[in-house]
Amino acid sequence: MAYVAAKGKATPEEIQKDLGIPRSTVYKLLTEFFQTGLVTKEKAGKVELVRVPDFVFRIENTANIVDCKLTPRNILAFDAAHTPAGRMFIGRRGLQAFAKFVELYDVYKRDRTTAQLMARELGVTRYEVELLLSDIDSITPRSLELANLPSRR
Amino acid sequence: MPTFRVVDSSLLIEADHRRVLRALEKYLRSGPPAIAPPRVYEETVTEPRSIGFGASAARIEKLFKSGAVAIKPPDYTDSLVSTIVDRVRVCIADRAGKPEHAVERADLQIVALAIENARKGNQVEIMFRDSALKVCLERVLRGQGVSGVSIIDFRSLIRQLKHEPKG
Repeated sequence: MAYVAAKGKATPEEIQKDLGIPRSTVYKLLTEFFQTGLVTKEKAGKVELVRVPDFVFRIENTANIVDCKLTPRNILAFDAAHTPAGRMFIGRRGLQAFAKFVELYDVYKRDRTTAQLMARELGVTRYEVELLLSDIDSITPRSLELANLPSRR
Repeated sequence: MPTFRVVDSSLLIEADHRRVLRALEKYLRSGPPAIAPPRVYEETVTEPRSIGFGASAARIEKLFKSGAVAIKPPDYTDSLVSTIVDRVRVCIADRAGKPEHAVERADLQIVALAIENARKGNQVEIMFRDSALKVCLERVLRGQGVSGVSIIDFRSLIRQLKHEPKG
């Protein structure tokens, strides 16, 4: 879902190819997402596209996160909690600081802030922010780097 | 073919984190002179060392000491350098919805270094990650009619270095 959310829309074949997962698994997951309404289908000619509409998913008042807004643009940043840089950042700065980074990443992906400004806002070094950005790049399928992501201005 | 490469902190941190710093050093040595401003040294060596990333800081410091990237302070004597840096600062601050002073002049030392060298007739490649900086720099350079600066997204270079045989 993070992949489709970040890409905006994709065919099941693209999902299978880019993520390297079996076709049967793709369809099984999509069926579950259609049922929950998190993913929608649309036809483009003969091709069936899967789309995750622009959304804000809010995590509030959990044990470790006071508040965090997830969007199609920062969902992969949230996933970076499991990468080496993500785990290190959370270990040093705490989960709430990571949640703040995730929110700032949405702004970053809309080309409205820089790594230096993010670091200043988080009260951390640019080095730490660049490590996180590097790990997000490493978990971003290459096809997404060139894709037009949904962008709320 | 560029006559100078201006290297940002993001490239060096990325290369070290992806374990291709040695390959990057080789790449930079085989091309035109690579330069970076003092701010890049602070962000990649001094600051990480001060917060416990000593091993990474040492590897990047070694790259500077090897001469693969020379530290060069920007020169603001040419008023166009200051004008461009200030306009890029304002542009980034506007986009971020922050006051102008939130973006420090020192944040844009790589821009100053690139413009300074382009104004001397050099072809300059500037390598960084931030898209907001790219948008603003392109806009200001177009507005000021400055040529000779190419903005490079280094991600494909890192991928290429990652797949090169070590040696």
